[in-house]
Amino acid sequence: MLEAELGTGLRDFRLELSLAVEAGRPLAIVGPSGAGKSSVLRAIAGLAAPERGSIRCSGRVWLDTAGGANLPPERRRCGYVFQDYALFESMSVRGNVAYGLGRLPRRERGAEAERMLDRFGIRALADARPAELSGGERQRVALARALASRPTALLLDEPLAALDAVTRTAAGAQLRRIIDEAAVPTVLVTHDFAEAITLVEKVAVLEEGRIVQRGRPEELAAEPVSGFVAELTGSVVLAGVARMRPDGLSEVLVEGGGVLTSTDEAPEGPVCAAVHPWEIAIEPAGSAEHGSQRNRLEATVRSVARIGNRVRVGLDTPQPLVAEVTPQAREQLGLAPGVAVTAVWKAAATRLTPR
Amino acid sequence: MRAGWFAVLLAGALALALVFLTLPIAAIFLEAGPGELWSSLGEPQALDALKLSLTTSAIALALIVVVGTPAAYLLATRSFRGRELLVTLVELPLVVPPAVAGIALLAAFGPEGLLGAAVADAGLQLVFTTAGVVVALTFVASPFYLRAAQAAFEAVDPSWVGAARTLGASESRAFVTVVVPAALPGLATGAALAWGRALGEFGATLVFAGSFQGVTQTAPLAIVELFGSDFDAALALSAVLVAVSAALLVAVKLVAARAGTGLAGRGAGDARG
Repeated sequence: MLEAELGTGLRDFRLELSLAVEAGRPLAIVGPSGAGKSSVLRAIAGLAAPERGSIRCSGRVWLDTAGGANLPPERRRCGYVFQDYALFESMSVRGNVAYGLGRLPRRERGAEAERMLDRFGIRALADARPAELSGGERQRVALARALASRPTALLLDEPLAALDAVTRTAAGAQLRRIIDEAAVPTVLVTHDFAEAITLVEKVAVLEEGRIVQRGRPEELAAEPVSGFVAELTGSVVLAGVARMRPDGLSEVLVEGGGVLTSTDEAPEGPVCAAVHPWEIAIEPAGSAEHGSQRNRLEATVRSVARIGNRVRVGLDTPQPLVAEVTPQAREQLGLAPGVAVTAVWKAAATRLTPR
Repeated sequence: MRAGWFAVLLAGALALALVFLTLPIAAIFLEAGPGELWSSLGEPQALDALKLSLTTSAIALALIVVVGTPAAYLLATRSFRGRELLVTLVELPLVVPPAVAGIALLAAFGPEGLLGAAVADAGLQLVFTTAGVVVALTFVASPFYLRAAQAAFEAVDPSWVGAARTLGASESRAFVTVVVPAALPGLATGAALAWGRALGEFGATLVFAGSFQGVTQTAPLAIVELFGSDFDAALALSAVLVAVSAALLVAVKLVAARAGTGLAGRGAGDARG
């Protein structure tokens, strides 16, 4: 169990958060660049000293600013995978992996290093220099090095961000297995919500130094507490002003034009209206209204891109929209940049949050 | 067509610079024949001066590296109030004329100087002694190493130190095993520059330590003294000094390059145990 409660000033805002992570239940901290994600990891690892707070791991006190305790990083022994992997360029792959084996008697280190090289499938690269490796190989060396030292906790800073899209899928699956096997409290940070979903079951969203929402990824996607969280989870977000209608539905005057309805009961005033791209259907421009509580926005197609078995359609409305439709719908509607269409979605699929 | 004349201009400028910088050096060797070179090494004055230059500059360089390396690391990696001022102060000897440096050393460590009494109490005699030569060389050559070392340490990715620490290394072990090997090419360049500056030192040594054969008369001082009486001997000693300096610089770079790979190999060897 890793428990941390931190408060410290960053450049533009304060970092104030608490978290508790059990072994086998990794936590992903998700947020945009500059939200303070890496600062959290650095504080846990002992590489930066927060102004106040306490950190405990498996019953040991790592930091207690009130009590004056502060273990240096070498006595906390977190397995830390840095964003750019921070491999020692002056050493071979074997030298990197063996670096953290100081806890072992000298004669056992060689065998242990070889074992880790085998386990991570990098034995063939043992004598190579990090500069000679591909992104995926560097990531495996970084993980092998971090885990060879038998860390008390695992900290991963954007572990997949440096990889290309093809490598990322395989590396993600492998990383998940590695996290499970490590069986130590694991915290990873990422700016990519989709990446977090593939790696963990628990997500905390960090915005300007504070955790604004925590939960399972699907809970966050379905019930975002703010437009910020909605956007992070991949929803389309429109800004507007809400008011209650007598029939109990909320009505949103979208900035730049258009009116939406939502089944959410939002406070009157400025709101963010969020909807998932796959909830948005596309109909021919000016198509007749059918179905009572549907939201309709006139739009012009800006871009059309096929992603797997879906087609992602960028739409110009007063605020940009993204819809995902089937390839068949693209054919039928003749979707191409410049084509005028109507974007349609249900009031029940429209989440409102105050902004 | 524009690119044509511009390329000619660039090549012309480089050719001019090359001729101007290498012709005088080449002239030393062309004017001093191999026979004179050889016989000049038999001259006791030239030999003494050369030996003194090599030993004092080597001792000065050792002092500079031992003290300057950690000092430069601190300047490169910690931010604190007055850091810029410190960096500027450390660089000051670069812009002080050598003769002024000698006067400054006298004012500080001379018998009548600021710390003169303390130096004497410690049983040290600096003025007109070989130790004084080392002090003068260290003073003028240090900034060359400090500047290069600071730049080299600043270029080392701080997350490497972080990674080493989380892997169980103390700050000092991370410095020795990760930071120094990464910064080694820059450190070697700084050492080579400082050594070159120390070998060529003239003014500060003359003012602070004097020019006594076998005691404080380094090669540059001997060359100037010979210049008054025996131009051929001065020329021959100059040629030897140029050759020795060039050889030292090349050697330092080669050793550093080899040490870089050697250190890395040892890291891996430790593991194999």
